This record gives sequence, structure tokens and C-alpha cells, in this order.
Amino acid sequence: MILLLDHSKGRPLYRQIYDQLIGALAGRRLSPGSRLPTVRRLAADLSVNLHTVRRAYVMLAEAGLISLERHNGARVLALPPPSPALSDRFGAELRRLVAEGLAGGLTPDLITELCQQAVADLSQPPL
Amino acid sequence: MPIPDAILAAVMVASALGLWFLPQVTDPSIAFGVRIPPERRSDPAVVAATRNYRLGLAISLATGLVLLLAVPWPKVGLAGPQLLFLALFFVNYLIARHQVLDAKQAGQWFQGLRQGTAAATDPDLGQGAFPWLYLAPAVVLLVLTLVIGIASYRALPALIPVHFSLLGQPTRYAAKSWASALFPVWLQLLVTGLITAASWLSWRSPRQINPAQPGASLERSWQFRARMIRLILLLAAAVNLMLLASGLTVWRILQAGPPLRIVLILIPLVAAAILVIVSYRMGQEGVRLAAPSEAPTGLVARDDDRLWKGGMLYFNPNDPAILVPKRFGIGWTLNFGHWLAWLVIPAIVAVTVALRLLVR
Repeated sequence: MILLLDHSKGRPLYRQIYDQLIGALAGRRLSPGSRLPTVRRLAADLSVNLHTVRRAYVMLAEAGLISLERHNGARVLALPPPSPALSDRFGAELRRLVAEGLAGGLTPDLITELCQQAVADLSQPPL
Repeated sequence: MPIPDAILAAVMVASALGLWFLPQVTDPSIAFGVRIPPERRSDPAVVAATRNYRLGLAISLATGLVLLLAVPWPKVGLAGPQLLFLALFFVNYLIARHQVLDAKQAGQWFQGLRQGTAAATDPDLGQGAFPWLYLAPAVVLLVLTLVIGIASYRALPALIPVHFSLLGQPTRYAAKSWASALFPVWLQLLVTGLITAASWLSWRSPRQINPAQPGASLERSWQFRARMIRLILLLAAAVNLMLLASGLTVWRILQAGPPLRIVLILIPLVAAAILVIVSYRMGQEGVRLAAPSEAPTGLVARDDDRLWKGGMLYFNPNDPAILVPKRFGIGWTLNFGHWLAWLVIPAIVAVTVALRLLVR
């Protein structure tokens, strides 16, 4: 997959890397066992600081999605079994987000539609 | 006109021609080594810089040719006029570059644009395996030369020519030994080794993905590399063929008069010319190749001028790559921020000196 960073956007660069990698993992565009570039290689290609890439990798490693290897490389792990802790955290985050939407005037129908759309978009199998 | 002068003059005219068209075959987001938003390619400052660059190039060529043809070359040295031409060209390039830099800074060309960068998570994304098969002709010719050299060793005289003028007249002899008799083979090994190493590193070099059209630029870069590396490996075969023929004359299997000598010199020159023409048609990293259309992302390639000294020398200690695609030119260049890059040129000089000592 290709990572695309917008350097003028307010969203932190490590967050952009994390979001795109997790999007690719969700959609199986990065399959278990496949290798990610070393921190140095990716930092040079994206023209960002080493720590920016490392931070995104560490976040993914902490979520149990990739394993960090020697020489700062990384490998995509097999899908973890759904854990009760993740589903609790996911439920809580979603409630907070739905509350924000409802308080801001979005209709329940629209929120449901947006959720379905997100699941459909992100879980698309590779083309 | 003596033939060596004619060949040197032709090489100079050909290089000037290549440099003339160079601004047209490089990434539209780079002008004379300066990163610009692609739509600024037609900015009056860039147009004027290109015009001045070409005028300067014509003057550099004329000066080089006058020196080459009016002054007999033994006086100024074989490389004198070529070096003068290159020095003048370089000054001329720097002037054009500063013209663009000044306009870019004064006009704040990147103001308000979304600057982006792109990277592939898989270094081989969309790229096949290294075309080792194309190395076969060079290796076959090398082995053939080695076998013929060994077979004819016994019959060789006590003195063997090891150095030739441009037209193939022996200018230096060495006592017969395996080192001197197999000299063409050592040269073949050197050339084949260097070309293979450079090709492999180029193949592995990071691809610069244009964030405006990431998919299309990746596809172009792959097409470019696939053709360039195959042609470069065949160029090694052309050089080895010339060295095989020169070995045959050294080993007195082939009597080569001047016409054959000229053909021998022309073999690698023609191969190199084909490589240059094909590469110009594709453009640097394939920028001129057709690619499937892609919705633009709205990003422009980020301003990365600070990594390129003088717009030509790449210096990035944070980049693990040794070879990277050139910025003003076609092909690849060294990352001088990598310690290994500083060893490359001394290593080539050392091997060349070792080869000369071999035949003392």
C-alpha cells in the first residue's frame, strides 16, 4: 500500500501514519506476516523525523497488530482474537462519539448510516 | 580532421544535445534542481532560466569545440576540452538554478499549497524480480574471453601490448605473464562487476512517489527501472564484446586494421547512445511514460531543496539508501550523507590503479 502524508494539515504526522496503517490492516490490504519498512527507510521516504514513524509503529505494536523487529523493521501479526477489553473500550469510545453527534444535532438515522458506511468502507477486501 | 578529434567532438556535441533536452525530461515539479509546484513550470522565471541555460550551453559547446579543434589535443591533454566544457556547463546550470530559486523565494510559490510525501510500505510494490537473465550475455562473453586467453597463452611473445591509443595502436608493452596476457579479462571483470553492483543498487533504490498521483508515479517508475536496468546490463555485454575483440588482437588471433578498430570503439558507444535515447523517451523515473489516469490527491511534492546541495548532490545522513534517483539528470546518484558513498570513488580509483600495477 502507499502511505500519503499531508504536511500542511493540522493532524499530527504520526497520527496520519497510524490511521492509514490501521485502515490497511482493517481492510486486509496488509496481510499477516508481511513486512513493514524500517523506521529509517519510511522516515526518509516520507521526509519526517525518525520518532514520528517510531511512535506510529509503537502504537500499532501496543495494540498487538504488528511486532517490532531488530534493525527497526516491523512485521504484521496474525489477527488477534477479539478480546473483551477491546470491545469494552470500543463500546465506550463509540458511545462518546455518538453522544457528540446527537448533541451536535445529527439524527440517529444518519449516525447509523455513517457507522454502516464506515464498516463497509474499512472492511473492504483487497482489490 | 584526425579521427580521435572527430570522435571526441562527436561525444561533446552528443553530451551538449543531451543536456539541452534535460529540462524537458525531468520531473515537472523540479526545475534546475529546485522543487517547484508543477504549474510553475510555465512561470516566466522558469521559462527565462531555461532559455538562458540553453544559450549558455551553446556558448560552452562552442568554446569546448574551438579548444578541441583549434589546439592540437596533446597540448591541452585528451580531457582538457571536455573538462572545460563541463565546467562552463556547470556554471551555466548554477546561474539558471539561482534564477529559479530567487523567483520561488520572492513569489513564495509554496504558500497555501498542500505539501505532501508518499511512501510504499512494500519496497517491491508493483516491481518484479531483478532481471538477472540480462546479465547472461556479459557473463558468457567474459567466460569466452577467459577461455580463449588461457588457450592462446603458450603461443604469446615475451612482450605483450597492454595499453592502446584511442585508435588501438599499442602505446605500452609489458612482460608476458598471466596478469598482462589476460588484461582484457581483468577489465571485463571490473566493468561487469561495477555495472552489476550499480544496477542492483539502482533496482533497490527508494522510489520517489509523487504524492499528487502516487499510483501512476509508482507504475511509471517501475516501467522505467525495468527497461533501464535491462539496457544497462546489455551495455556491459557490449563493453565485454569490445574487450573480447581487443583480446583477440592482443593474442594475435585477429588482425585488426583501422576500420575494425573504429567498429570496436563504436560498439559500446552505440550501446550507450541507445540507452540514452530510450531513457530520454521515458524521462527520469518514467515521467514521460503513459500511466493509467488517477484522480489527483490535491497534494504537491514537498519542498525538499535542503537535501540537495546545489540541486545535484544528495546529502541526507538520515536516508539509509546509497543510490537515489537523480534530481537533474536521468538515472541514479550517490547519497553523500551515507558513509559508504565516500568509499565508492576511492574504491574505483584503487581498483584502476591496481589494474595498472598488475601489468608493470
